Amino acid sequence: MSMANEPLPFELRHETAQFGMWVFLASEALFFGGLFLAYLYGRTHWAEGFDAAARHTDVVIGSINTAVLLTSSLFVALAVVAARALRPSDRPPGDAERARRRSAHRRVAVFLWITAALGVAFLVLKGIEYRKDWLDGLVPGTAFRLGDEAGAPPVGAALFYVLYWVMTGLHTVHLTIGVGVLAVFAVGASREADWVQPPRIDVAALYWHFVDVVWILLYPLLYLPGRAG
Amino acid sequence: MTRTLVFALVFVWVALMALLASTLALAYVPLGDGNLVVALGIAVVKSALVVWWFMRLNEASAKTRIAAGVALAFFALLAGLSGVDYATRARNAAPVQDAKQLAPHFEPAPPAGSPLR
Repeated sequence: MSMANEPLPFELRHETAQFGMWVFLASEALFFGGLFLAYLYGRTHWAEGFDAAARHTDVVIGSINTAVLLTSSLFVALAVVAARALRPSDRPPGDAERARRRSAHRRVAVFLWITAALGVAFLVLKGIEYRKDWLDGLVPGTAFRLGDEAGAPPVGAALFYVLYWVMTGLHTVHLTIGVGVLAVFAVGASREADWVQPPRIDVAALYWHFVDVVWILLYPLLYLPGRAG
Repeated sequence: MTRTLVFALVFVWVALMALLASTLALAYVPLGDGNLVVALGIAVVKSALVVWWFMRLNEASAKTRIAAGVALAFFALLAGLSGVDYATRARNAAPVQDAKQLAPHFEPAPPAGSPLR
């Protein structure tokens, strides 16, 4: 009769948390999906303008940042694996068990700190890139120009840069939130806090991977077109 | 078991980096519109690797997989139904657009005094 007061079994709690995060990520996917659709529309209607514009994004920083995010995803995945050792267990409490949990907490903390640091590295590089974009005149408006190219930019180039700023800007906001979330869990894990539990690490990691996937899809759209021409 | 899993994750990372290198290299090979197709294809493979291995969809419950699938299905619906409109119609000028705005998009530009002006 007291079902409501009993905590859910761990496995069920874990599965519910995962499912909830995936539902949220599905809504996020459609949030970004509208922008991807806008890009698709622009690219199919003004292909030359889009290619000419994409040639002026910084492919070196863009590629390095892709590698940085892919690597960060590996480390957050390793944090999730390390956190498995923090699942409730039937082991008898004692010094050995405490030591085991302490080392698991430490591993989780290290992996999360590395992930967050890679996220910060991405943000720093992105900031440098934004500054360069600004100085190159790649901001739609009356002073819009494509770097040193003479003459008016082709039709569609400004539209490309509207999408570039909105999409990367929105992605940067998500990434900043992710860095904050991972840093909080990293601090908690270093302090061996009770609230650092596998399902929560798992859910934070899912969000981080999602931000990575968005970037994986942005990279070929914003940095690679028009390079071969 | 943990060790096997860690090796699998590192292997996926190596594959992701190899795909990144190949997509970057292929961007400089002139393939016309094929460039975008190849780049997007590789991006989809990379995303699938992240979703399946890093996001542990390979061991997730059926309902979690459905949530992920629904996202994909709804994006396909969004793009597909929008495409019915955007991909099949000629671009038409809106009455509020003036000739200067229209000039780069429509040739020849509508004559002055036309309803499209």
